[in-house]
Formats: sequence, structure tokens, C-alpha cells
Amino acid sequence: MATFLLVLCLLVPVIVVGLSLFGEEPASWSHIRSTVLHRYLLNTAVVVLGVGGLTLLIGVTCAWLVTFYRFPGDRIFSWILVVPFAFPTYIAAFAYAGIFDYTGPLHSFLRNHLDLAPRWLDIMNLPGVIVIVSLVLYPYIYLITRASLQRQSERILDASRSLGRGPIYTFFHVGIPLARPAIIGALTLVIMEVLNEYGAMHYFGIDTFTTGIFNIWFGMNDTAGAMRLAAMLMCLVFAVLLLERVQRGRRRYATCGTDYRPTEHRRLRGLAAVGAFVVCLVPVCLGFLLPLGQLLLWFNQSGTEAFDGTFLGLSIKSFLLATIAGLLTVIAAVLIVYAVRLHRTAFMTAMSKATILGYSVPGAVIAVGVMVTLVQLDLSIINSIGQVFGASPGPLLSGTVFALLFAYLVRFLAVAVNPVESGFDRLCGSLDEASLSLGKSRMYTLLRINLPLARGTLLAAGALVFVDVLKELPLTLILRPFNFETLATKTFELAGEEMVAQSACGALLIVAAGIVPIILLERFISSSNR
Amino acid sequence: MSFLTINSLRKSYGRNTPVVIDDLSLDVEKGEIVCILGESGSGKTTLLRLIAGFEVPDHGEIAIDEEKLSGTGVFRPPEIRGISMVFQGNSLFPHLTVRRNIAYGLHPFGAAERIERLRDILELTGLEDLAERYPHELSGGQQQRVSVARALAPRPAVLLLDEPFSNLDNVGSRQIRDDIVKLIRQTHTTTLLVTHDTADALAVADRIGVVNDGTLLQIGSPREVYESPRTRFVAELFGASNFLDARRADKGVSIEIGELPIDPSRLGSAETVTVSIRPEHIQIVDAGEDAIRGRVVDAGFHGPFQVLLVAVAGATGPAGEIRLHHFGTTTYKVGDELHFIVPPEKIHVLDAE
Repeated sequence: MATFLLVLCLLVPVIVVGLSLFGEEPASWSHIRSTVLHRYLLNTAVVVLGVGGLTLLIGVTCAWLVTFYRFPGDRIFSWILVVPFAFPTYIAAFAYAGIFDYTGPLHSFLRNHLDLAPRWLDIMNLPGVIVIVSLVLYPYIYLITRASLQRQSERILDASRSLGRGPIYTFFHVGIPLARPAIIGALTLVIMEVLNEYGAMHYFGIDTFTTGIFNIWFGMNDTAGAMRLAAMLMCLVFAVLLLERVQRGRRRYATCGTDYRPTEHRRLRGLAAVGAFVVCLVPVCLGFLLPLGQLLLWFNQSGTEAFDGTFLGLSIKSFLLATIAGLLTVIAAVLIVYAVRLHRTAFMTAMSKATILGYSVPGAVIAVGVMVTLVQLDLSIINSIGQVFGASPGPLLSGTVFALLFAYLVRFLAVAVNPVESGFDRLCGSLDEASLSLGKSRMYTLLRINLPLARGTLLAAGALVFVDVLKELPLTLILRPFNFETLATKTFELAGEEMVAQSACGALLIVAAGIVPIILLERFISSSNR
Repeated sequence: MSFLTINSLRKSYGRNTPVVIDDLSLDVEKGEIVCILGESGSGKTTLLRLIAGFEVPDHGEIAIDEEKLSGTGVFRPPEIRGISMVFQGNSLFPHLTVRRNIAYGLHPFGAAERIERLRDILELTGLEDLAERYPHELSGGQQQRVSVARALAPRPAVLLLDEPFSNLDNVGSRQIRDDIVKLIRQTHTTTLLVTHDTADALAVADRIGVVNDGTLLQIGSPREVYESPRTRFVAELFGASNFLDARRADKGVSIEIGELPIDPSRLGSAETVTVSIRPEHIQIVDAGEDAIRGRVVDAGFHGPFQVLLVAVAGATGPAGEIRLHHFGTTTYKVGDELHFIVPPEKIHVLDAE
């Protein structure tokens, strides 16, 4: 019952936004529709298509090379290809903007050494943003495709070859189709991330749905209009999710992995080996090393002046916030997963699935939902207190850290539920039952049996949420209390105010914090495959 | 010259690992079905993978119709060997229908022939009604039939089957086995089948080759291998037997339970040998001059027959006990006395191991 209420609370913001579609059309809506809407739609579609295509190309190619071939550095590539994940898109965006800036290293070099000043070398546009966002999002596709390719039974690939088909044909007609559900799943995640993207789009001046919500909310002060836009964005997300469901169709891809043996690696030689090496090196360089270099350069220029007391305070505050959010989220995830485990009814399973919705809904939409919900709640509380005491307090919930933590919980619950679930699933069900039959309560069983055994996964879940919160931008920007800054918002603000160099310190910290869990995650995925 | 020839093949995975296939030679005639029988880990799957071209041999040659496929300086990749392999378990492409699974290897044929071939094979296998199904919509037996149909469709020179009957449930498995063998016979496909199941091997094979630790211990017709096992290992593979240590004697061999008359030429030069006597070959008789007397010390009922453990009078210890199968209506109990004889031609002298 408590779990049911918890889930319901977490769903409220999403429901509130969804319901706004059925309410009266706000007065400003016809204006929005006639002026900006089609631009939002078009830009969003182009970015989704562009990033989707590019991440597929990079991710699948690298996963294929690393899974099936041996070439110089393949072992290192297999995990280092994941590292661009550590770059939040907005940090990659302004690092790249810096590299390509007129005063930046690239133009300076061309001007001073080659006496060139190419005007076309401008990336502050739609293609630019597509390439940069793709460079940090392709690890989704890479990681999931690789896991799927590794899990493929060698028998099936061998069967194709014993029927007279070569390795390339086999890859395209058996390997890829079998990995297709996984690849589409990963692509769906990429699309969610793109729809959620605010920082990079805003920095590059690309108007999409998400930036539109900000413009209308803050620029035009039009809550109702922003909410409607958020609702449309949410519909778009659900449409993508639905498509993903539908494409699976009648086919079942699960092969019985009883005699699974790892696919044999073929050694590449000569030009082929060099080619594979370069293909894997490029995304690592462009997605990680290059922007990291730019950040380090800036840090070197402004290191000491940026590293002052306010920065230290900011870091502590951000880390604290992310830690609390991580802790709350893991606790909520454990409660939900354990309730499902105990009851195992269709209803409970549906509940746990519903909580995952939050992660697919863009941060800006959740922020709008939380804001509207809490303002309503505040109003009714204030009114009732006013009636009883005759005096009204200020807002209690909206615009507080509580609102922010609640929104993080809604958005990142799925991040924690998935690993906690797999951690609990690995525990034999009879363990709980043994404890219960020995007369221990459910709570005692959870605390003394399940949690200690699933310690590792709980820690991993917490770490994932921690990093996500640390780099989260759109939701924080909307919901933070007045004058409340986190590392992410401050970094973004400094970059926007042309104080990019000063922002490097915060950016580096966010990136560094992101790397550790990513490597853990990569290890986790590849070890669960063995 | 045989159709498929394998010549002193050797394979190990890595330098310091035990040899998986050790100096193995084997000839298979055209259209013949040869079963390779062995326990798991005996190297039989590796043998198939070497023939199919999924593994490169360390040493030795594989040839079909005198054309070398693997050997010094030669290695033809699996896709151009003309050898189809049916893998253990389900290896159907889960994203393709039955029809498209079977058509998968038909690319070397022209369009018209491809359609005809597909129709023929669907008809031959009785899979027409299932053609548009996906593999997960089929039963285990149907999946196996499709696997074999898919492998046979491109008219392979050699068909390799890796434990083709091991994943089938017991009820219909014999029927499916017979269907599959009939299909192979109808297409006159040269076939090498690997199994750990003695009954399958006996029922299916033209010849059986027994493999252990990567070496071929014995090869011959099912009757030959069953009745004249060369070693104790081969004999045990085909069911329980009495293994008795014997010494050369005047009229034959002398063993713990008495003297048995056999032709001395079968002993070779050895002074001591091991003989094998299958329990079903021992006959219970009325008391007589040649009969050996014993007392039942253990009796168990096995449906068609009774398994009796008989302690021979005058002998002591396990070496003085012999196991026999008693077919008939009388039931023996522990403690009963009986007489039995061992027909000399059923006493089988084993090679020293």
C-alpha cells in the first residue's frame, strides 16, 4: 500500500502535464502555434534524425569491430569507447565552441601558421550540434550493441557460414538483425536524451521543444503555454516508445544460451588492422580527448583564479545534493522492487514499470509538472492555513530544495530501479522465504538478508543516480530555489556569459565524477555477459 | 579412395592445453552414415568443427573427393567447403521464417531452381504447413527437422550433425530420429553424426566410430562394435559386461570362476588377458558336465529380464561373481542355486589397454 502511494506520488507530475492537453487551450497557444511551433518541430526532428543516424553509425561499427576482431588496442578500445559518456552534452558543446572559436586554438593555428581564415569553419549551427551531441551519445548504442553481439550464440553465426555465406553477409543478415531489438532499444535511449537536451541546443541557439519550454516559461512568462508544449513533447516521447514496442512484432530473438561460447575473434592484419584502429580511435579522440584538452587548456589559463572559496562551496553543495538524491532514489527503488518481489502480481509489476516512465520524460517536462503541482499544493495549504490562523505563510514546497529532490526522484528512479531489480533477481527467491518461514518479519528480511546480499548493485545504482544528478541541467534550472547554484548550473551560466575559461574547473569536475561510474557500468555489463 | 578422408588429424587449443584431437584418421564412403560415439569432452564436436572449417587443424589433412580442404598450406573457409553442419541445440535464425531459414543457403542456385529446391525440400520434410512460422513457434522436434532440411537444401557434399537428437523430449524422439535418418537416406547424403547416445548410434549408423580422448578406438559396423569390442572402454560404452582376468590354460583360458574353452589362437602371445562376457550371453541350464554351479547373491527385475549376480561355487570375492540376464518366466531369488554355461564364441578377448 505504501509502495502504491509512493508510485502514485511519483506519477503525479507526469499526469498533471498530460492532463493539460485536455484542458482549455491557453490564450497564447494560437500565437505559439502560428509563430514558433513548426520551427521547434522541424529542428527537433532534424536533430533526432541526425543524431540517431550518426550514433548508429559510430556505435554499431565500433561494437562490431571490438566484438569480432583482434587489432592493436582492441582490449583498451572496448572500454575506452564508453568514456565520452562522461561528457554532458552541454560541456562538450561549449568545449567545441571554444576549439572552433575565432580566438580558439584551431583558428589561431590556421591564421598564424597557414595564413588562413576559413569562414566556413563554423560549428554553431544545426549540423554542428548534431555531430557534437552524437559524439557524446554514441556510447549508448556502442555499449548495448556490443553486449548483444557478445551474447549471440556462435552456433548461429557458424550455421550461416556452413550454409555458404561469408562473414560480411552473415554480419548484415544474421548478426545485425539479431541485435536489432537491442540496437533499437539503445536508439530509443539516444532519442530520449536528444529530446531532453537543453544546454547544447541553447548554447548553439537551436530552437527545439525543450528550449522552447524554457523560452515560453521564462521568456514569455507563460506557464500554460509552456505546459502545453511540455505535454506535446511528452506525447512525442510516448510515440517513440510505442514505435519501439511495435517494431518487435511477432519475432522472438531470444536464443537458448545453454551452450554459449564466446564468439571467436578474427585477427586483422595490415591495412585492415590500421583501419579498425583508426575507426575506433576517432570517436574516442573527438568525443573525449579533444574536448578534454580544451577544458584543460582553459583550466590552465584560469586555474588559480577560478579555484576559490565559492567554487569549493559550490562543489560541496552539489555533491551533497547528488548524494541525498542518490540515497533517496535507491531507497525508493528498493521499496518498489521488494514490494514487487513479495507480491508478484500483475498490478505490482505494472506499478514498477510505471515508475520507469519518469526517465523517458524529458527533464524540462518533469520540472514543469512538479512546479505546477507544488504551486497548487502550496496554494491550497496557504489558503487553509489562512482560514485557520488568519495569516498566510510564503510558499512552502515550490522553489525549495525539496521540490528539486522530488523531481530528481521522479526523473532518475528508473536509473536505480533497473540495477536494483537485477541485483535482487540474482538472489534466490527461497532465501526470503526461508527467512520468513523462520519467523522474521519482511522488514527484517529486507534489511538483514536482501540488502547485504545486493550491496554491490545498490552502490552502483546510487553512483549512477549521483552522476546523473550532478550533471543534470534543464530540470535544475527550472526548479532550483532563487539564487541556488549547482556545479552544472554555474558551469553552464559561466559558459553562457562568455566566461568559458572560468567554467572549465566545474566542467572538469563533472566529467571526472562521471568517468568512474561509467567504467564500473561497463565492467558490470561485460561481466554479466560472461 | 574414400569420399571424405581424414588423415592423422591433430588439434589442441593453445600450447599448454591437452590435445583435443590426437592423430585421428577416418574414411567415409559416399552416401554412408557414420556415427562418432563418445562421451562429452572426448573431442567429437571439435572433430566436426575441424571438418566444417571452423577450426584450423595443427596437423593432418581433410579432403573430400581427393580435394584437400585443410592441410599444410591449405585452408578453405567454411562457407566454400560445401559442408553443411547441424549444430547441437537450436541454431535456426530466430528472425527468419521456416521458409527463409531453409532458403538461406540456396544462393548458389538460379532463381527457378531455388524455388523448385525449396518446394522439394519442404515437401520431402513435410514442413509445408509450417513454412511461414518463426522458429520459436515450433516444437523441439519440428525445429530439428527444419535444421536438417536447411542443411540439406544446398545439396552439401557432406552433412555433419552434432548431437542432433539430444535436445528432443523422450516421447517423440525416436519418431523424429527415424524421420531425420529417412530424409538423409533419401537424399543419399554422406553424413557424419556425433552422439553420446549408444542407442542412437546403433539404430542410425552404417558404421560406428568410438572416440575417446581425441583418438579413434575402434570403427566398424554396429554389430561388430557391439559384439567384438576391442577394448574394455568400447565394451562398457555398449552396456554392462563381465570383465574377467584370464590366464592361458590347456584348453583355453582359466579364470576365477573356472576354465573356459576357447581357441588359443585368439589369445595371441599374451599370457594374461581380459575377457568380456555380456550378461545376456550367459545361459542358465540344467546341471550337467560343462555347467558351472553358483548361488544367486543379488537379483533385480528389469522388465523383459532379470539381472542376477551369481557367486560361483568355490570362488571367493568379486572376481568370483558373474552378472547374467535371465529371460524367462521363472523368477530367481537371492540364495537360489543355479547352473550356467558360457558359449565359447561369446567370450571376447580384449586388447591390452
